[in-house]
Amino acid sequence: MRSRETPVALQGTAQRAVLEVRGVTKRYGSFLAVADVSFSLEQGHVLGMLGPNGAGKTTIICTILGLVHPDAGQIRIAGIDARQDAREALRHVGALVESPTFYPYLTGRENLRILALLRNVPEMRITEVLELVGLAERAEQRVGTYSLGMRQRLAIAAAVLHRPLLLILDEPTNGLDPHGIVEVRELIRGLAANGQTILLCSHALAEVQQVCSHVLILDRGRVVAQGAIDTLLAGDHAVVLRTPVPERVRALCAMTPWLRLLAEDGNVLHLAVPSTCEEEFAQLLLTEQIPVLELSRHSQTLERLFLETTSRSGKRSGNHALRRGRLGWWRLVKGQEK
Amino acid sequence: MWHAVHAEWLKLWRLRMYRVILVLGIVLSCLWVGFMLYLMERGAPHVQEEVTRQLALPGAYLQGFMLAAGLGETFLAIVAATFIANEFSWGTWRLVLPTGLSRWQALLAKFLVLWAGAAIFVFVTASVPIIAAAIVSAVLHQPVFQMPSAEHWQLELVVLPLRSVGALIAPIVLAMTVVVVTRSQAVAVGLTIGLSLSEGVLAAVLQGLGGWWAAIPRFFYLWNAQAIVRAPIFSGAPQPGSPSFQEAIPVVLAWTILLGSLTLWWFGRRDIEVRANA
Repeated sequence: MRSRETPVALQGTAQRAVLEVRGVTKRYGSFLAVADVSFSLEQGHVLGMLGPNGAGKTTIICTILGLVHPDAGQIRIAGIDARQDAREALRHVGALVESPTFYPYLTGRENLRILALLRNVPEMRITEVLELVGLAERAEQRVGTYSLGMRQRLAIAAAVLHRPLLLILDEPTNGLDPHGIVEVRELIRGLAANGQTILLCSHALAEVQQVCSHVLILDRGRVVAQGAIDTLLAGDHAVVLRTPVPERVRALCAMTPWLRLLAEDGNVLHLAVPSTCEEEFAQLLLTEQIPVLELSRHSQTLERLFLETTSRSGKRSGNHALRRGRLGWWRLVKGQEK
Repeated sequence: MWHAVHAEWLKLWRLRMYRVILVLGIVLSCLWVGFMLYLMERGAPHVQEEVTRQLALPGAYLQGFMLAAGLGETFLAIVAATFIANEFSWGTWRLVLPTGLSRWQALLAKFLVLWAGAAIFVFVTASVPIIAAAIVSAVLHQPVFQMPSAEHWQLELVVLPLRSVGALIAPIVLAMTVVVVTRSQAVAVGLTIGLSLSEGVLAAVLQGLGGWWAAIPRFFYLWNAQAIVRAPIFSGAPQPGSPSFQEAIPVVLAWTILLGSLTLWWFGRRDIEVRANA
């Protein structure tokens, strides 16, 4: 798949918010699916929306796309109130929501032709996007005969058909084989590199970390973390130290205010070392002549941040609880668990 | 809006069920002609005379459109229910609605296309007896036109197709309403066909009871729609117990507006769930 797509630029300042979601709340009966969610997405940013299943990601996307009516809140797309003037606002949005849906009795090209008619897009553009996603050769076959991966590609073609300002991709690599995943990832990166504003929902956290500039983490319909990935992942680092003299390190921790012992397992010690004190820590080990058998640094990853922020507020599956147990020491680093 | 109608037309025309129903209309119409030819050959003298009259113009014209409207009532209800239920079951509402197409436009485009599809069905099906009439007349060396009275013929020539196509609004609107409310193709088809078959019988029963019971059938939707095609406009009285053309029109219009408004309101306020069976 090639990525030469350039979205239509938003008039005005370069940093103007393409998408603004303010206080969106949605209830299904007594079930609160989305609770007072607010975020904004500026032009050229790639926002990864993360959350466990049932966290409200798809509900928020459906709300943005006008498929679900929110109980409260405001959505502005390119400065246009999406609830007041949905037609004008949605003109700027291309979306792939969960599993791709098409008319199975129509060919890939016919499905895109329907969207092109509704979007007022010239016929020539259909061929362009089919080539972009590598489906030009299968375009005349019925979508019912397509594999899930091909449908996923067709859905991406449909989403970028009208060169939208905002691209919403909900699980775009779902059902793709490893080659397809790499291709879609490259396509998304290419789009992002060309200044395409993207809202990306994915459970592939490594992928989000690679592709996105910002991240929004939801849990039970609420925002539990949001911001630039670099900012969210910056902070203290955990250091794993294996030494034959753990008691001397413990004594060192008691004497040094910025050094904390997080956990101990025989002669393996988990220490919290602020990123600004890493050199000082190395110097301290030399000065105190502490023998080092192994020294490694554990940086915060998006996966850890995700698990940490989404497991805080409630019951999880057994598997999740297991992962939580393994990461207990990390919560100590962040000072959130006594 | 016209882009939406064009898009819906693409979808309907490529829908295999619709094309099968067009073929079915032609086949059933051919069977009717075949049966008429059989009666003309083997029937009693008075039957032969009647059949000969029906297989000439304007009899064949009249029979063709009535046959098409009768078949269309069932067939178009099935097509309408399928056409809209597919959007729910395939999850394709979430493909078309995020284009900015408003919900009322989406439904109105579907309705217009279904009605256009109904018109094609009626004309295709009705054309068989009319063509057969010309062929039979040529083979039997008899005049194509056998009119006892040509008084209203020219007007009927125009009005009958309009009545036949117009009456098909009722099953289409009813099927659309039931699908939008229940999201079930089976319920919509069952209810529409069930009502179309049972309203006539129920009307006869209620009229048999007399009193205010007899007034209830006046408000039946599909029964009145059928009367629009069958009731004479220019001459003669309607069949006993059947509403006149002038009585049927306002009832059908009122129901159409009521059900149409309900459908648009219901569809406009509901959430489109993210689910797909396909």
